[in-house]
Amino acid sequence: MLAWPRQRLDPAPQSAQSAVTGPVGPTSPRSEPARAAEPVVDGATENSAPKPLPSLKPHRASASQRAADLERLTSETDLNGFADELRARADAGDADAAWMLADLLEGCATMAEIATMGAALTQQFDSMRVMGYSDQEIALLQTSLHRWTGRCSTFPARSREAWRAQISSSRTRAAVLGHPGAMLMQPLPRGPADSPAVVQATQRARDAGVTLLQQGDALDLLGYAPQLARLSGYGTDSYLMAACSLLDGCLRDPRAYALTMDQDQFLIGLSNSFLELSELSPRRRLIVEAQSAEILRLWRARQYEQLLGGSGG
Amino acid sequence: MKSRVWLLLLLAAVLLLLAVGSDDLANSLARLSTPSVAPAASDSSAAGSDGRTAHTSGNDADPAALASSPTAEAIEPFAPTVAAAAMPLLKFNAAQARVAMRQRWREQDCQMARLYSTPTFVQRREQEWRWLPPDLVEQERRAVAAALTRLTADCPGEITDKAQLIRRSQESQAVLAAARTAGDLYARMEPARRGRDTAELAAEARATMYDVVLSGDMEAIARLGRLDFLLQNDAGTQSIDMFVDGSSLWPMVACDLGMDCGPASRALDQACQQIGNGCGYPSLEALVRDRSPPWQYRLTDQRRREIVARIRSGRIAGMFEPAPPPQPPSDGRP
Repeated sequence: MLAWPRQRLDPAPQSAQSAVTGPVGPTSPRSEPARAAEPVVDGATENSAPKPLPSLKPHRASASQRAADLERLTSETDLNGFADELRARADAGDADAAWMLADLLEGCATMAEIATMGAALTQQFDSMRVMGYSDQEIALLQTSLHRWTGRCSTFPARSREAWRAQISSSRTRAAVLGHPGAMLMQPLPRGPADSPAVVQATQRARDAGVTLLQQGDALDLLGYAPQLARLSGYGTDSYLMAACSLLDGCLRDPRAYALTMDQDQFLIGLSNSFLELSELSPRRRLIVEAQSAEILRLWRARQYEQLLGGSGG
Repeated sequence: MKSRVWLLLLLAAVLLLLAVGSDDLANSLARLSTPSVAPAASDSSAAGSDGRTAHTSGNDADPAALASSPTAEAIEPFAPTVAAAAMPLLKFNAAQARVAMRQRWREQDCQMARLYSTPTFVQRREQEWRWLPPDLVEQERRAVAAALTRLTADCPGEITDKAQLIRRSQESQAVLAAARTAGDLYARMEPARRGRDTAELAAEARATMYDVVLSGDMEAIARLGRLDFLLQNDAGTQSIDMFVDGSSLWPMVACDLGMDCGPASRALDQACQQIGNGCGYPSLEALVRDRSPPWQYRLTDQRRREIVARIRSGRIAGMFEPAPPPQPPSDGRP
């Protein structure tokens, strides 16, 4: 419905990340991060995907560093320069830097894509009007779009394929370095649900999800909603509502909250997801509210294994 | 947009269902396609040169009588495959075509009812019920069971043998082809699509839609969503119809024009079987309102009222020409 993809909500196209079609990374994210020599399974093959050099130590950035990075993402005027910094840190083994670099690149790739849409973009906004968005709300989105397009303009022009390759490379690196979000977003191998490869990959994703949720960040319920939903059986929109419930002022008017939040975080596309909450049918809303309440109960009780244990389905 | 995805899934399911069928109908068709039967009395003239009047006859034909009084003739194999080569072409007159198409629709409805009662779908419904208020669940549980009983009351037995399924699929295609050749309006609602130019297909779909509306046949009007979808695909530009709930629009139009859509009606029973929909509503309109995002219901309802007003006032000309671009609502938010 929106003109732009929602970042982090969908895995990169299969063709662009063949290296991550099979599990890459540790059996449990709570153990040591993945090493380059770790074997890949179920069709995943060696390729040019980045591997940590033997000399570097895969690590997570500190919470304060992550917060500072997020702040820079929303305020930095030279995003290309910031990307270079993140790349250097990723090269030194910082999983969070690799992950944020991927988000940044994907956001700017989206902006580059939008810049070429022309009349199609106008049509998208018209569509939103038909769906009941006011001119004021559309204007808010357009302002965000304009602002972020400008911030991304420091990147040299490149093809869609070049953007995609860089994004894929950075996401793969983040997974190899043990970023739980990256590991959670790895596509499951194809095959029957009870095949050993799928079972193992699902368990790895579940472990990564638990590690991610242990960070206690409400935005993770938002940013990884589809992946968490896939593991647990609760709906994606239920995770969105759970996240919205944890953010002051969101539940009262998710659409207004999303549009305001977009001013700051448009690039990583998280808040766009809240728009969906204003589009629920009456029947679906009943289900989502009930599931959201259970997600929140388990999340607050730190019962993450139970949350991702499939009880929602 | 969501409704289009939903409609695509529904169409895929219907296509899947065409591959399976019933013993009784298979037997009937086997009799129909027996090479030794006498040639059909040709009444293709009843369909007119453009086939637009075919729907005027045959509505009251007795399927049993048709099946037992062979009137089809064998001509040529209808498809170049080895399996299909064993299947002779059917030839229907208008009445036979209509009866065969009614059987086909009935068969599809039966298969759909069966599909929604398979463990996968039952499980999905049970999952939804887990999150709904108990009193509502109890009401829905009873309504689903009652609807399923009504929908499958006169359904033939299910075919499970693979070879029989394949044959049934071929027979089903043969029936459809023969009914199309006879110019039957119901058959025209399932136009052959393979290898056809979309503009040509859309033009044909548009003509058929006019004829369906003119026919006043409520069941046919309720099924216009498929053809409407073809028109949307061909339009190339955005129109208001891309935003309405295409799976509900035409059934609701038919309701307004007199089709029974109240409790225990076929229309409501069928809608209630679909996953994501509730059951036990007083009307189809209430069901659609409950399962639609408010903005989409508003658009669907608006479009439905426009269509009904035009039909009632006889202003049908131009009704299915490309719709104007979408206009934002005057009141801002829904």
